[in-house]
Amino acid sequence: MTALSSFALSATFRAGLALFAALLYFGAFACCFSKRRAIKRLSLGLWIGGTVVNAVLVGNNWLVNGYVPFVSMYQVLTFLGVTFSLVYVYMRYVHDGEFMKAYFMCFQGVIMTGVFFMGRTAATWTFPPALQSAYFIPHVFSYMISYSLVGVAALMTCLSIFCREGEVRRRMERGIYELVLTGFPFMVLGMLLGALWANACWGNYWSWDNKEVWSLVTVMALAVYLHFRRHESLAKYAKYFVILAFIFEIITLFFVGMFGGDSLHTYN
Amino acid sequence: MKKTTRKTANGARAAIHRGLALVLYMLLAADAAALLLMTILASAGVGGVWEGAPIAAVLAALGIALSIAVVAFNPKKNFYSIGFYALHFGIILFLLGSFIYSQSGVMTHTSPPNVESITPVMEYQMMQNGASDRAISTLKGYYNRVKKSDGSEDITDLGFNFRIISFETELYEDGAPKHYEATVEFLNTDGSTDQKALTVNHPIYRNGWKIYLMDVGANSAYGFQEVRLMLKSDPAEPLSNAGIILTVTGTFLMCFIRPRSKSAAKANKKEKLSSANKGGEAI
Repeated sequence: MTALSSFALSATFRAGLALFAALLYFGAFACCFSKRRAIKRLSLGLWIGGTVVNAVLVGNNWLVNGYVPFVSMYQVLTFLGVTFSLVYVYMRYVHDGEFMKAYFMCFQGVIMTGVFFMGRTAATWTFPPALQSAYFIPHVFSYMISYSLVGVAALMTCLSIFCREGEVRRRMERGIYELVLTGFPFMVLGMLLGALWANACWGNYWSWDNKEVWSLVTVMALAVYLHFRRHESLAKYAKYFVILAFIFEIITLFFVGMFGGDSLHTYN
Repeated sequence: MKKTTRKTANGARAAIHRGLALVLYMLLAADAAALLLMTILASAGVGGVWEGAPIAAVLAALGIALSIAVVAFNPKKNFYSIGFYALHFGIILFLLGSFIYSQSGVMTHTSPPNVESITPVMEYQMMQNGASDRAISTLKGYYNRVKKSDGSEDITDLGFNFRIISFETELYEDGAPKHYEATVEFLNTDGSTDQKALTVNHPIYRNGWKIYLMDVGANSAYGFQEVRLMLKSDPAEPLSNAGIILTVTGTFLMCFIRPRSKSAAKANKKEKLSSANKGGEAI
């Protein structure tokens, strides 16, 4: 690991790469709205470029640490940027979700801007014994997939509220449903893998830790969305639970770690 | 006559359905309110919120609500319904496993000291002083009985003898822990011994017990390094694990294997075509 650390990019260079990736993503986002085919192609090129730069940062984090970079918030957010790209490709080709690309790109731009501001954070991070488990990668990656899908679904929900009744709105609502249907199982998987891991590490499936409770609340909000959507009179309220789920997701991801006090999920 | 009988039966069925739905919604609403209240109380620093009768009642209500949902709202028989049953029965199984564990499981935290740094006399004092240690040493340095972590004075026989014979810590350059490993020695009934490595995330299974390596640190009261272990006996663990696997499988089946995928994709393609004909793409 020490030898590999000598290849680590400097903090300034990493921050520069993050900013460059953010600009590429935002550029791709802006080009989405053009009706000209050439500019639409440019959008795709910028998005691919942004993903490649983002992946270089992930690769650097991986190389210098010697483990999948999921430990610190900086590492997680950098990887999350690439996850959005993977998830978009899935939605594009499996669920014909090309119309969602602008939302994905917008999110990626915001995330990489955050990574830019965290650019001074050390790239290397210790890997505590509790995290050295076979559950670690699937647990975190499942959450990343679901968080990216729910994030985009929430953004689309917010916009659909202001959208006039019509074909576009119906398509957005169907897209939101597809996103939640794809993201929900991964969120459940992430949570229950966490429970199995906790049983192997701490001897308890569930400890009612702050992070656990908030992640359960997020899952429940999405479950309410899926249940309400099937109910004739409650269906119109369902979409608000996607927005709520996203708010809970943000609380789980950022605020519990910052203000949650003593948590089993704090390792350093 | 037949029509009248069928109408009455349908009416009765609808009434039962409505009644069950009402009970289901009431249970879920009460559960949600109780969980919200408990979260607020726990956030305000009230202790013991997630333990004992209140949480057992909330989980029992959830189990009953799910059972009603499975009976009253089961979908038509297709792949989707397999997912539906797997998901809901999975949660019920997990709750049942947790309930059985709460009734018959045993958990104990122990700090058997590294035998090189402590004498059996000190171990005895630790127990007498009511320190956090819950293990009782019987043979020279070996443990074979434990007290529950819930504060009760019940002593449980492990059915085997064990002790820590060595402990190694690997650190990063900044002093953060990189790897812990304890060597546990078991004393068999025929007097022979066998040794096993114990690391974080990899508990040792023995006679229905799991031995966990939790932590290592200095005991401020007695001034020596101690290895913190946890012993747990959960007879319902296979049930809980089965519940988790069923829940995950059911969720994936419900969300991925269902007719909507094809119809939605077709609808999207139609929209895309009509949008392309009109020129421009709406976001």
